[in-house]
Amino acid sequence: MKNKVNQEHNKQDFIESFREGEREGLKFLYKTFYSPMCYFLEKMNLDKVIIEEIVQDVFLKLWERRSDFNHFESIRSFLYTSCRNAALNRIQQHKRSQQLADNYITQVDLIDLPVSHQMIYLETLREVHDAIETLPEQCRHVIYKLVVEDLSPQEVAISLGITTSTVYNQKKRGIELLRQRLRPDQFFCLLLLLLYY
Amino acid sequence: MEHTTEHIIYLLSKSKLEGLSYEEQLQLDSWRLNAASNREVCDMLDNKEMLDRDLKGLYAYDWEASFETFEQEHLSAPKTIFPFRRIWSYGIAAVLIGTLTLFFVRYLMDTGYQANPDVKILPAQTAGTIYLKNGDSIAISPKDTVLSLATLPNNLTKGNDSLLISTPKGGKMAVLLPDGTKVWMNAETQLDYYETDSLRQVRLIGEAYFEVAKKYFSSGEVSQVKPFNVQTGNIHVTVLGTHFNVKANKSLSDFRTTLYEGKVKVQQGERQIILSPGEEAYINIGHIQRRTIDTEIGNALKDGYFIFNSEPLSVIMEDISAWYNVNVVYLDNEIKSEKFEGMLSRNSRLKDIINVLESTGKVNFKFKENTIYVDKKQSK
Repeated sequence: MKNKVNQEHNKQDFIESFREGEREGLKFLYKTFYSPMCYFLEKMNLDKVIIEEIVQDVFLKLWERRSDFNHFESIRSFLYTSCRNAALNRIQQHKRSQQLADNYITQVDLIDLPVSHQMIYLETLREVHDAIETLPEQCRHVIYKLVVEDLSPQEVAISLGITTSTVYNQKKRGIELLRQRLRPDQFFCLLLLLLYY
Repeated sequence: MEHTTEHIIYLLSKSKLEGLSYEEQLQLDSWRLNAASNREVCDMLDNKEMLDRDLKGLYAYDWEASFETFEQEHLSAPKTIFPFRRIWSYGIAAVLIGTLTLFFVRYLMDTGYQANPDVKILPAQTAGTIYLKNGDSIAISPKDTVLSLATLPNNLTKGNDSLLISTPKGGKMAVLLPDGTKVWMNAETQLDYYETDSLRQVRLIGEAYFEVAKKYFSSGEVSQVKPFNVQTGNIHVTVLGTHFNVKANKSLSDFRTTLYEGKVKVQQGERQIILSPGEEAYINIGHIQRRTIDTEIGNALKDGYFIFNSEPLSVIMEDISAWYNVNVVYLDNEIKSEKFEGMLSRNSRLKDIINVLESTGKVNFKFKENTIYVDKKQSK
C-alpha cells in the first residue's frame, strides 16, 4: 500500500528521469502501459507477433522523442494514439480478408469509439485493476467478486468458502484501503501523522 | 465543471471501486450526457461480463520479457568488456597493470609499423605554464612523476586575482588556486581563473578535478559564501564548497561534470540540473542530462586512474592521446564507436594500456614514432 502511494508521488520523478534519458524512467512507463497497449491492439484483432512489434515500435518512438513530453497525460495520449494509428496502417497494408472484418463486427464495441474514449475505457480498467491489486489477498478476492463479478455478499461467501460476515468485514476494509489509494495526498498526510504520534 | 480526461478516468474508476460522492456523481452524469461516445464508455464499464473479461485480458501480457528485448535491441549495452570487470568490486588496489600476463603474437603485413610503442613514450609528467596578470609566466616542471598536489609557493599566486594555467599534451599539474581551491589538471587542459569581490570564475577547456575551498564575502551586514563558477562553452557549473570533476572538449561534444561531495548546479541556457553526490551531468545530443555514476572508486584524475565506464573507443583514445602525447589515426571508422569499460593506472606504460585494449579481441594497434594506428581486429 505504502509503495503504491509512493509510486503516485514518484510518477513525476519517473517522467523527469525518462526525459533525461534514464532507463528507470522508461521502465516505469513500459511497466505501466505495456499490457494495456497490447490488449488494446488485441481488441483490434491483430496477432501476437504484430502486437509485440507495434508496441516496441511505439515505445522506441517515444524514447527517441522523450524530450518532447512533460506530462504523464501527454505520454499516455501519445502511446494510445500511436498504437491505434500503427494498427490501422497495418490492417490497411495487409488488406486483411473478410474473416477479419467478421471478427471486427463482434468486437465493434471498443473499436468504434474515438481513440480518446478507447483510452478512457482502458485507463479506467487499468486504474481499477491497479487499485484492486494493492489489496491484501483475501480482501482482493472479495472486492473483485463484489465489484467486478457483481455477486451478492452471500454468493461471494459461498464461492470463496468463507462466512458472510467475513465478506462484509473484508468489504469494509477493502473500501477503506481503496479510499486511501484514490487520494494519495491525504493518505500520505495520514501516514505522516501516524509516524509522529 | 472539470471534464479533463484525467478527471473522467478518476471518476469512472472511483465509481467502480468505492462509489462517488453526490457532487462527483453529478459531474460524471453531465459528462455522460455530453456525447454519445461518452455514454458508450459508461455502458461498457457497466457491462459486468465485459468488465470481467477485459480486466483479466488487460494483464495477460508479460511486460518484463518485452522490456528485456527492447533494452537489448534499442538501448545498446557495451559490447566488449575488459577482462577483469569483476575486479571493480574488489577496489582499486587489485587493478594493477603490471600483473597482466597477456601476450599475443602478431603478423604485421605492412612494413614500417612497429608492434610496440616507442619506449620513449611516457605517461604525463608534471608540466605546464602559469601566466600571471602582470604578464609574467612561470614554467612548471618538477621532477616528481606522481600526480600530487604541487602547491605553488604562496608568494607567487598571492595578490593575483587572475591566472591562466595550461598543461600541454603529456603534461599534468596540481595547483592551489589563490582562494585555496585545489585543482588537479589533466593533460592538454587550459584553466582561466579570476576572482572578484563576490565571485570566483573559472573557464575550462579539458579536464580538471576541483576541491573548492569555502570562501565568504560580506554583502551588507551578512557574510555569504562566495560562489565558484566553472564555465565551459555555454555550460555553467555553480558550486558552494564541494568536490567535483569537470571534463569538456572544445566542441563540447564531450562534456561531463561528476559530483563527489556537496552540491553543484549545472546550467545550459534555460536548462539546469542540480547534482547530488554520485551523479554526473553529461551532454547528449547537445543537451545536458543526468545519470548516476559509481564515485565510490574515487576520482580518476586525482587518484591516478583512467576510468572508462562504457566509453566509445574514440573518447578513450582522446584521453590516451593527451596523456601520452601521441597522435591517433584510425584505419577503421567503425571501431571508434566500440565501447569499452575498465580501470587502468595512469602510471602504466602505453604498451600495457594497449595490451589490455587488444586483449578484448576487438581492436588492433600499430605504431610509427609518435603515432598510434587503430584498426579493428582482423579475424583470421
